[in-house]
Amino acid sequence: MAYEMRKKSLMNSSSRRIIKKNIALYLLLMPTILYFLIFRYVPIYGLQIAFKEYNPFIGYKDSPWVGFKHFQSFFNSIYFFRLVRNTFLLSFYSILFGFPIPIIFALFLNELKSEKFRSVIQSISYVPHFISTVIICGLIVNFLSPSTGFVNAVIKALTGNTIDFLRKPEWFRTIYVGSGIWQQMGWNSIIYYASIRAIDPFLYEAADIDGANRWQKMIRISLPSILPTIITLLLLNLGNIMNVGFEKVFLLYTPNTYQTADIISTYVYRSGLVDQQYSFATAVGLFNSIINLLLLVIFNSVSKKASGESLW
Amino acid sequence: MGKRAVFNAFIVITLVFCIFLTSCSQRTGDKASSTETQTQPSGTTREDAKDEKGSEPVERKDIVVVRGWVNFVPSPDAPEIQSWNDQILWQEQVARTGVKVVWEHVSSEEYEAQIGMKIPETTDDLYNVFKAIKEKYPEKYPLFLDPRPLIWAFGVGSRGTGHQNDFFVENGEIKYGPIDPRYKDALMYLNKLYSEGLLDREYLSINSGWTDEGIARAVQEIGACTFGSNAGYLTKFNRLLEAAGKNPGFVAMKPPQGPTGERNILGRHNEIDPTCGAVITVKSKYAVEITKMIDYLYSEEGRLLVDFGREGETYVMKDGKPVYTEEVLNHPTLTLLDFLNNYVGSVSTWATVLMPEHYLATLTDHQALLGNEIAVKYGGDKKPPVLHFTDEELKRVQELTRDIDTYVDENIHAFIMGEKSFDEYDSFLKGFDAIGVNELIDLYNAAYQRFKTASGK
Repeated sequence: MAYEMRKKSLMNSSSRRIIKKNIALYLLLMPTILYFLIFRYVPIYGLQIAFKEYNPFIGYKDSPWVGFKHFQSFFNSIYFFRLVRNTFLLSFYSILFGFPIPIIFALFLNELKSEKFRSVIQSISYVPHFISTVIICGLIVNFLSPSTGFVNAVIKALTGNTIDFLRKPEWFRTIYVGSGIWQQMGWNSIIYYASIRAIDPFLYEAADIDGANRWQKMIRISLPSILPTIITLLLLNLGNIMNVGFEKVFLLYTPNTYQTADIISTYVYRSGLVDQQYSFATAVGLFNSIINLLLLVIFNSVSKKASGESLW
Repeated sequence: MGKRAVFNAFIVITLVFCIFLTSCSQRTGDKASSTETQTQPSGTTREDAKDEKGSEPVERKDIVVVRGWVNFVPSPDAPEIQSWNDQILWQEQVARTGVKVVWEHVSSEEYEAQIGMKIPETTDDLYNVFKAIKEKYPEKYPLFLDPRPLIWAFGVGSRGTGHQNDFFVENGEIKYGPIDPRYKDALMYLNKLYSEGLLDREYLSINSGWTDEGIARAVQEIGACTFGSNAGYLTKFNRLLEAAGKNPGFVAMKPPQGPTGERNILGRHNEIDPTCGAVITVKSKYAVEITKMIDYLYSEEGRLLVDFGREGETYVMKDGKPVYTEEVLNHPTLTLLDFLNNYVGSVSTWATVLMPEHYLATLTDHQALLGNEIAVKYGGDKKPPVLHFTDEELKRVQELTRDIDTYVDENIHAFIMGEKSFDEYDSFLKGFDAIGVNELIDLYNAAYQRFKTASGK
C-alpha cells in the first residue's frame, strides 16, 4: 500500500515536472487542441439531427427521431448515382492530375541555381492561391466566354469556330481540374520544397563523388527522401475525396452542365438550406464523411502493405 | 450615321417588359381599408371569428403568434398554429396595399418615331423585330438574360426572374406549367430564337440570374432586349449606359402577346411578401404593446411615418398626398432610397405596407414610370397566391421539388439550346411520372383549395 502510494506520488511529481519544464510547448499546442475540440468534436453532438426531424424551436435533444428517413430520401433521388459519381470523379481527377504536379514543380525548383530567380518563380506561382474562388471563377467565365473571352478569340483566329466551354458538359471537369491545378500548384509545392531542402546535403555530396548527374540525384535522392511526405499528403487528399469545394462548382455550373457538374453539395444547396432542411443536409454530410473515412482506412492499409508508409 | 449610332437607335427598341409589383386587386384594397378603420387591438375579422381562441394570443413553446391581436389582414388560409413554420403564417399576414398608377399615357407613336419600326405587339412581331436587328448587327444578340419570362406569354407558368415555382392558376385551378402542351409551344419558340442567334448564346450565365455579367451584356451593348422584374431596372440600365458614355436607350415595352392572346400572365408581385414578417417571443413582457406598435405602423399614420418620415421635415402634404421635400429628393450624396434607409425608417427589409406615392417617388425617370404603368395595365392574373403548406406537406414538397426542378432545368435548356430535339419531348413528359410530379401537383392543389375556401373565392 505504502509502496503504491509512493509510486503514485512519484509519478505525479514527475509528470508535473515534465509539464512545468515544457510549459511553453504545451501552450503552443493548446490552440490546436482547442480547435479540434470546439470545431471537430463538439459538433459531433449535432450529428444526431441526421436521424431526427430537426426543429430549431424544439432543439437537438427533443426533436423527434425519424431513423434513416433522410438517408432514404437522398438514396431514392433519381439523381443519386449521378451525384455520387460526379462528386467522386471531380475529386478523383483533381488528385490524379493535380497531385503529381506540385511535386514535379518542387523538384525542378530545387534544381534552379539562381536563388533570386527561384524566389521570383515561387512568388508568381503562389499568387493565384490568394485570389478568392469567386474572383477565380469570374476570371474563368470571362476568359472562356465565346463572345468576349480571349481564349475563344485565339481559338477563333486559329480555327474559325468558338467553343462554349462552360455550357458543354464534356468540358466541365477539364476546366475545373485545370484551373485548380493552376491555382494551387505553387502553394501545394511549398511543403515538398521544404522537405527537399531538409535532405542531408551529404547525400548529394556522396552522389557527386560517385559521379551521379543531376537527373540521377533527383530521382535517386530527392524523390525517395520526400516519399513519406508524398504518401502522407496523398492519403490525406484521398480521405477528402468526397469533399469537393461547393463554391467553385456552384459558380461555374449551369443547368446545361448538370450532367457532369452537379455534385452532392450543389444539389443539397438547390434543395434549399433556404427551406431549412437542416436534417437532410446533415444526413448527406454524414454520408459523405462516412465514405471519406472508409476510403481513408482502405487506402491507408493498402499503402501500409505496398510501401510501408502509412498515417498510423 | 455610324454603325454604333444605329445600334444605339435599335437598343431603343428594346426592353424590359416591365412588370411591376402591382398587387392592385380589389381584395387587398378592402383589407387595407378594414385595417385603417379598426383601431381596437381585438380585431374581429372573419378569420378571427373562426379562431376558437378569439383574441387570445396563440401560444406555442417559444413564440407567440399574435394573430388574434392584430387586425391587419390575417392570412386567409391560416389554419391552427401548429409548428414553427407558423412563422411563415405570420409573415403571410403582412400585406401590401395596391400600387395602381394612373399616369399620363404615352402613345406608342412616340417610340415608333424614334426607332423607325413598330413596337412589337405579339410574340411573332417580336421575332420579326429581333430578326431585323440581327440582320443589321450579326455580332449582337437581340434578346439577352433569362428568356423564360417569354413562356408566360404562352399562357403557362414557369419559373423565371422573380418567380420561384412552375405553377399557375387557371379557371380556378392550380396547374403545373411544364406538363402543359402550351409549354412545348413556348419552348419551340425559344428554341427558334436560340437557333437563329436571336437569343444570347450565353444566356445561361452564372446562376442565370441578374448577375453583373448580365448587366455587362447591356452596358457592352451586346444584348438589346430583356425582361426586368420591376421598373427600377430601366433606370438602372440607363444610368449605367449613361455613365459609360453610351446612349441610355432602354425603353419600356408592352409584354408581347402570345398565341393564346395572353401577355405576361404572371405579371404581378404577390400581394403578400413571404420574406418579411415578425414574431414575438413568449418571454416578452410587452407582447401587447409590441402588437399595438406593429398595428400602429400599419395604420395610415404609421405608414406615413415609415415611408415618408415627419411631416414638414421630410415630406409635405400636397392635395391630400404626401410628397418628399426638395432636400430629400435632391440630397447631394444620397439617393432617395438611401436617404430613407438612413434617416427615416427601414423601407426595404421591414414588412411595410408599400405606399404608391413612395414607390413612384423612387422611380425617377420617365421610362421607369411608363414601364410601371405598362406593367400595371398588362399584368395577367394567373400568378398563384402565396400558399401555406402544413409541416408534413412542406417536407414532401421540398423533397419532390429537389428532383423535379433539377429535371425541368436540365431538360428545358437542352430543348431551348437544341441539344435535345423535340422528338424527345414525349419521353421528357413521361419522365415526370417517375419523379412524382402528380404528387407535387396534388399537394399544391390541396393547399390552393384551402386558400380558396378560406378566402371565399
